[in-house]
Amino acid sequence: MDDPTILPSCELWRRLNPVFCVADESSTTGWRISSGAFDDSPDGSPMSIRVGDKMAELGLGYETVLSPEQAKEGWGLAALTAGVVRMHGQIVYYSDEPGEPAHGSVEGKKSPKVRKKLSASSRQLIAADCAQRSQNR
Amino acid sequence: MPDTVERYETLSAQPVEEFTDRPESTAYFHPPIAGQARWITVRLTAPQSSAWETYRLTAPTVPVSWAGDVFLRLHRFREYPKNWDSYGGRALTTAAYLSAYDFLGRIMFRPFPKPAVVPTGRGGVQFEWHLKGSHVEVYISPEGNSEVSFEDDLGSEWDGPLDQVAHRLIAVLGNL
Repeated sequence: MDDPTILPSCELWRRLNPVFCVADESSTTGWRISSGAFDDSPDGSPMSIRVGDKMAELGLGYETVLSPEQAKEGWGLAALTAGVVRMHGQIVYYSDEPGEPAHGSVEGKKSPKVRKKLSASSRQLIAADCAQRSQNR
Repeated sequence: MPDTVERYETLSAQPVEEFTDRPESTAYFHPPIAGQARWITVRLTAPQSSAWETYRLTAPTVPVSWAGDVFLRLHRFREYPKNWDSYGGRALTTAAYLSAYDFLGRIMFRPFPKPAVVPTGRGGVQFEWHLKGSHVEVYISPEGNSEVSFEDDLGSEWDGPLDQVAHRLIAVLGNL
C-alpha cells in the first residue's frame, strides 16, 4: 500500500552502474541514463530505492549510498520524486532491507514506456562517469 | 482453420526485416561462420493450397561496421556476475540473448547508426538510439519478447511489440 508519509516532493534515490550510460545528442552532457536502470528486481520484487527524506532524518547524506568501490568505478546516484513515480502508476512504501537504511520500494507495472518516463524525470545527484566508463560511445 | 505446411529455405544475403511485415513468415538470421557466405533460413508457413511466394530482393551483403562490437557486448552481458547492478541483477538470459541476436541480424545490413546496448537487471537488454531529437528503444525482456517505444522532441510517440511495429521502426531508424 502506498505510504502517504512519503511526500510527493520526497526524492527517491537509486544507484546507477555506468553501464546504463547511453549517448544522447539532445542532452547538455551528451549522455542520458537508460530506462533500463529503472526496473524491478530479478526476483520479482519491486524496484529498490532509498527514501531521501528518511535518510536526512537519519543524518545520512546521499554520498553514503555508494560504496567506496562503486564511487571509484564511476557509479552514479539518480533521484526521482515520489510524486513523479506515483504519476506513472507506481506506489511507494518503506521496505526493510538489511544494510540499506531508509530502504523503500517502488511497486507497479513498469512497461518500457513507463521506465522511459521515469528515466526522463530523474536527475543525477552523483553523476555516473559516463565519459570515462561507458562503452556506448 | 486451414491446414498449414512449413517449408525451410536457405537464401543468400537477404535482410530479415524484409520479411517482418508478413505475418505468416518468420526469418532467422545466421552470421558467417569461418568465412562461409552469409545466409539466412526462412521458415514460411501458409495455407496448404496457397502458392509459395519467393522473396528475392536485392540487399547489401556487408554488415555495418558496428555489428561486431554490439555482438561482443551481448556476449559480455551473458557473463555479468550476479548482482552487477547492486540490486540483485542477473546476466542476460538465454532467451533474451537469442532474441537480441536475432534483432541484430535484422538491422545489421542497413546503414543505421550504432545503437547503445544496455543490459537490464532482470536479464533483458535494450537497444537505444537518441539522435536528431528522436528517442528509440527496443526492449528485449528476459523471456525474449521484444517491444519498441519511440518518442521525439516534437511530442510524437508510439510503442508496441516489435512484430507489429517493425515497419515503423525501420522507417524511423532510416531517418536517423
